[in-house]
Amino acid sequence: MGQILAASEFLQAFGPIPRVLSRTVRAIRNAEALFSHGGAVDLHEVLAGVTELVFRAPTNEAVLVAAVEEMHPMHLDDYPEMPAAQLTRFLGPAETMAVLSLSFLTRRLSQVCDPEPWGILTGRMRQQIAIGRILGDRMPRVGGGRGMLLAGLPFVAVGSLLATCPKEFSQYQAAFRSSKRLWDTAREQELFGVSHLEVAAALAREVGLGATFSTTFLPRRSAELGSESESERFRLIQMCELLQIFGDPRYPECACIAERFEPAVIEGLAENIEEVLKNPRVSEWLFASGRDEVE
Amino acid sequence: MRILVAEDDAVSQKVLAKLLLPFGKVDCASDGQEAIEAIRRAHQQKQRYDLVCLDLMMPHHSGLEVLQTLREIEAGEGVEESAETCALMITSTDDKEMFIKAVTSGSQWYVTKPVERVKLYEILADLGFEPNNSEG
Repeated sequence: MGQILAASEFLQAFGPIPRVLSRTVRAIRNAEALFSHGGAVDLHEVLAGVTELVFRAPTNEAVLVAAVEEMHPMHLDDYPEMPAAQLTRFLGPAETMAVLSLSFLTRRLSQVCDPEPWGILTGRMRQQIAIGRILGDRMPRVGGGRGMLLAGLPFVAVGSLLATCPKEFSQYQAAFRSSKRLWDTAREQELFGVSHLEVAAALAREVGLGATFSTTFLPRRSAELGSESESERFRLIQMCELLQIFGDPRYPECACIAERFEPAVIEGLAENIEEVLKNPRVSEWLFASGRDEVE
Repeated sequence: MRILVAEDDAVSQKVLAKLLLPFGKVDCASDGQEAIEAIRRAHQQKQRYDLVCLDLMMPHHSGLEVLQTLREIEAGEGVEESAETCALMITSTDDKEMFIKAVTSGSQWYVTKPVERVKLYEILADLGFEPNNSEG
């Protein structure tokens, strides 16, 4: 049995989360809630306004440019001279939040994690983020950006387990390396006193993603939320279930899960995911860097 | 939980205070100056507000000026972000510049009038506030 820590203690692996990051993420969510339904105010202009400060930092700017290049390449060709924050119009609010938060947290962990296991983790995380984007795009009321966050934050949370308790982490890895499961939350509870999903939930709140989103990571099944089947929470939890199903490169046959999801969600999914798994350069924007990191 | 509602329109102030009552003890201020005094007093008495709802346009000091004063007091006391008073900026305008100014100055959420119960409670739940009783 290793040291038992609370979820919040694993957040120390990231160092202090800069106020500019959490404020910007919350501001993006606020802008999305107020201005995404049309009206006189252009959401993209607001998005550029609230992210201007954070994208002045060269590393954040480099990440943003790399993310647009990878996810929306035709747009970047059209606007090569556009100021950084204006590029957020191509990502939209949710993808901007995802790119900003996930790249920041990954950078912080890269400074403190043992490179070998961290390299393995990030390799899978890059694929999962891309898969999360595909799944999120297909899910009503989720979207690609939130799909990326739902897929990426659990990996970052696992990274914090590695950074905080490296010895226990090697035992943890050895225990399920040969199994088909991506994670073993019961074993995490034994070794670390928390599951990575609890850490992911705490982390989501810390970066400004709010209580509704962060509770998605806590153990609930969409089947338990029958009366809320149209709610945002239901869709987010359902999305988490999809991610677990497709979380492992050796994912099961689509046919066995098709009954649980709308046909539009499942159709052609296996082919799309296969493409992601074959692409060695997927989600490279996570590691883009500028001259320095202003935080 | 301690809440301050700063709103110069008496009806709006009363409605908002009533909506917030299930969440804790609500004090009211009728202009920006009163709001700043209430905040200073609360800090001196070491009974800081957990939530302040600030009307953007108020006599004497705007909601933004009150927010700025609040954040200055907190900075002077070394209050960390996770412990800072949550500020809702309430306004009848959805002006882009005003929104950007409010959210980048430390307002946790920008709410447009009319402030309806469902909308307000959703925002508060997302910010981590729950009513003290189920009557809500």
